[in-house]
Amino acid sequence: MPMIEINHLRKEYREGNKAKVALKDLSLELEQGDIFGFIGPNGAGKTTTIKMLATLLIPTAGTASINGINVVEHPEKIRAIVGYMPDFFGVYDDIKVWEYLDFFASAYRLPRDRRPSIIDDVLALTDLTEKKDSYVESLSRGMKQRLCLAKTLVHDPLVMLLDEPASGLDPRARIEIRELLKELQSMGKTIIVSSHILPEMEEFCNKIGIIESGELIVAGDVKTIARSVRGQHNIDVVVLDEIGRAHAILTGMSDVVREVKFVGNRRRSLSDENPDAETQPMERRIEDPSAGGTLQIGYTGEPDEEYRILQVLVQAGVRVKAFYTPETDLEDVFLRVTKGVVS
Amino acid sequence: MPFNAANLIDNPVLTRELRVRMRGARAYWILAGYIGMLAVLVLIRYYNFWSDTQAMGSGGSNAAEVGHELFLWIALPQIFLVFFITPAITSGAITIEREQQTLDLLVMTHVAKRTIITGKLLSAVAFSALLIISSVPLMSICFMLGGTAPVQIFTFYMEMIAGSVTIGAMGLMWSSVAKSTTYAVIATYATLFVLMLVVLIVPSVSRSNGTGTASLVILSFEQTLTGNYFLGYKLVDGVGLAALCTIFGVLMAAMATARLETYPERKGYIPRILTLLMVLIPFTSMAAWWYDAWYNKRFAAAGLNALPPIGCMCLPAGMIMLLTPIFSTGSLEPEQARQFFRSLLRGWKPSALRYGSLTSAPAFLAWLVLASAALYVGVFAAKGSAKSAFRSGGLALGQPGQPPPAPLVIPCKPGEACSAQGSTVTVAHPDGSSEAASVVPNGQVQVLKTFTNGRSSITFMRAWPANIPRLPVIPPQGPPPPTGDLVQGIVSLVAAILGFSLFCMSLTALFRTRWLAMLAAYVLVFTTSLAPEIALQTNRGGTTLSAWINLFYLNPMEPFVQICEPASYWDQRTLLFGLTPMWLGVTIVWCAIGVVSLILLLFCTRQIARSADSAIEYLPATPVKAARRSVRPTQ
Ligand SMILES: Nc1ncnc2c1ncn2[C@@H]1O[C@H](COP(=O)(O)OP(=O)(O)O)[C@@H](O)[C@H]1O
Ligand SMILES: [Mg+2]
Repeated sequence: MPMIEINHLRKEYREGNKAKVALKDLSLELEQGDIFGFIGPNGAGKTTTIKMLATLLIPTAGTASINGINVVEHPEKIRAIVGYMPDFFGVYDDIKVWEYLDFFASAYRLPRDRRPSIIDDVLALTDLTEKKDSYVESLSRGMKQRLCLAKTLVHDPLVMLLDEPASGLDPRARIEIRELLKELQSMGKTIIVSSHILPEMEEFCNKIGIIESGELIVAGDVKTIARSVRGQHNIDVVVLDEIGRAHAILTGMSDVVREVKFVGNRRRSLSDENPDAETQPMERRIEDPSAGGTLQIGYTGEPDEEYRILQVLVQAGVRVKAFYTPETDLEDVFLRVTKGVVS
Repeated sequence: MPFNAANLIDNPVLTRELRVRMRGARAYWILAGYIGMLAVLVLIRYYNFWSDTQAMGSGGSNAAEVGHELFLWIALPQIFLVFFITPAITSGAITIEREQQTLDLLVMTHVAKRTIITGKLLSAVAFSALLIISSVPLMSICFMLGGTAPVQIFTFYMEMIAGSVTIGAMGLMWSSVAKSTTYAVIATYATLFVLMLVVLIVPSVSRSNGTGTASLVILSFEQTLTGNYFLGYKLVDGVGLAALCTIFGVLMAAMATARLETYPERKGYIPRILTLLMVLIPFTSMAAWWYDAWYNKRFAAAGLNALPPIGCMCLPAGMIMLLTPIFSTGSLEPEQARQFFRSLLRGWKPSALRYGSLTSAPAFLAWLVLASAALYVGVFAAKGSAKSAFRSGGLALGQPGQPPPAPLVIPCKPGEACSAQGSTVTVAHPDGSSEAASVVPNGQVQVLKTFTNGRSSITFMRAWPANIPRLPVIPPQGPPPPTGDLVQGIVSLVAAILGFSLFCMSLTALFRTRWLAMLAAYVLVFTTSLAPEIALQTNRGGTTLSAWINLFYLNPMEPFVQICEPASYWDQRTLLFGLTPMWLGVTIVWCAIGVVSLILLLFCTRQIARSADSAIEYLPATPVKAARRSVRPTQ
């Protein structure tokens, strides 16, 4: 039985006498342990979907169930197994971090004697132990976000619905959230995490869905999607010198190489600390053909025959420093998909 | 969620609110300032008393009087406190959570919605209770001086607590309904203002205004509330009022609770049951009061002119009329609009009544009327004469027939002109001044003096004044006008309630916003009940009545007044249908309104259903061909 099952879910908002369709027809299945990245621009309908799963909105049509429980018929049971973190939330004034968590622990009806240890656990998990006695309003935005995650974890939910957990955070705070999500993943939780920014998703999501204007455009396994959408995958080739000649050789292999881009003189960092900075390599003009640099090629041949390109380059005497497939680049997928280039 | 007694005590909302409220020095400063203020007031008054006694010996102020005065000095600021501070705390309770975006997180937890509301309410009440109770030591000075009975002070504290529950709950109700804290605060204080006006004005108007059914209704209601008469028993002063306030408070808290539910309509039965209790409990006591007053002459010793018991049906008639707009306005879902008539019929099924859907409102209100009638008969049965319930009107009981249309001239002293009309005797003195005396419901005699300069004064006396001739006994004249009795009265009431309920629904369908429809309905209720009354009052003694008088046909209380007082009912009123019994007139008028509303509803609901069907999709069609695929691991 899938953990989350959504069938033809639809939501219309009523505005006066008219209806506005926020979500058209969403169908999705997620297994236990899946980390589903729900990606789409602002206003795409992510929050609407998540709120319906969280029983805070009533669907106009369609059904959704979590762990086999229908969200419309048994909202109370759903709330017991779901941890929901809204995109915008507030905290109470004049209250300390542990009191805040104690409030939610008792609100979730945890036994009184177990509350202190649970609070300590979630504080440790979210790295807020030193802040236990601070006032909530004195925390930074990133800490508040982690505190909200901590309160979401208090009742040990099976499924977590995280609506843009990393929006509005600085790079360091983002990485902390990302690490935290990886930890939750290792705890076996099923997580839906939405974002309008892509790169922060690729590291820990095993499945993604791209939504635009209320329609799910693609959904599936990250790697499969990348391939099916592109019909190619990228290979980075770093050469020590004679980049002009390498470019010419690669361009000549048009049967397996669709495009060749010069993306810079340095090797691209894989773990870029700032996801907002251009992760999508810009194509540049080759200024000095005799210098070294990185070329990105779109490979369309058989996946296991990539070595042939390396073979050709090496045989032609190009001094290849590195030859590798960069991590799946969701942004690339996203741009293609939303432009309508679906193969 | 299974019921768990421990959860009643372990209220996270209450814990958090109390933690925050008592945090830091603020709460203690408020407490200290409040007690300090009271203490200064008491000291000033006490010093005056003391210096008086010093200067004039024991002949100075009366200790008991000063004690009572001190009691008032301490009591009044507390009334102010309860009435103004409690709603200030509660009217923001939900809206602020909504505005600071914490409400979603809270309702997602396992806390029952009623726990959230009780937590909010108790924390507000606890704070005002703390302030009130901290004044008890000062109150002890009143005891020392005497002048105030302990039971008076007990009643005072009980009513203060009950009052703060009620008013706090009202703030919470508005808070759960309103869009923002500002609106919630405005609505709360506006309601408070109207309530205070009603509480202050209605009894004083009725007391100064003769003997009719209306004043007896108010008197019996008052006696029920003050605990002087509750189903035949005398309770501690104020218990009835405290109980009614508490039920009213619980009712409003329940409404607030329902608003927080994911599916408010699934909990529609809670406000309905509480409404039922709120109407029926005082009504039962009142019916017993009227029975005792008429058949057992229970209050005859106090000089009360009792009227036939059917008059007490005015209370449910008035209350249900006032409740109708609340239950009959709301939002019509497209599904209901599509099959409007079917859903109106379905409203009579128990399940629809339970869910409290809009279209079941006429059914609910009609059941409420029938339940009142059943209780009325039940009271008669309990007193041992169920059959006479159906013949409890004035005619059946052999009241005098039609009274003379003109004032009766009575012989009196030379130079003076005396006349009697209804139960009032007027004496015109030669110098142009005049005096009018009548017996009011509590047995006292009210004397209205009008002086030559046009000014007037009202005094109350224990006995009929010697200088005014007594009211002559009017002999029965001619056949009495038809009135009908309980059954006919109930028929007219059901017709009125159904017609008005449908009318309110058509307002909802017309305006498409609940609040506008409700406002329009209430404006209509108040104008139709005030306009004919004003037309009547401004025309006392005159011959031409304005056409507004015919709005009496819209008032479902009128049939019961006519059944109760057939002798004097037509004295003043010259209505469109002549001497046709009021129940028939009211039934016909409201049936007509109901039919017109139904036709209007048919038209409007079609419109609503159509516009819902042709809902516009704003979203641009995406050029992408949807490659929708369910996410399943490919194993
Ligand atoms: N309460 C509402 N009333 C009317 N329209 C709404 C409401 N909430 C969201 N919408 C609309 O629905 C669409 C989807 O919104 P949302 O789910 O919040 O998008 P996302 O979270 O992907 O940014 C948007 O066009 C938004 O304007
Ligand atoms: Mg959003």
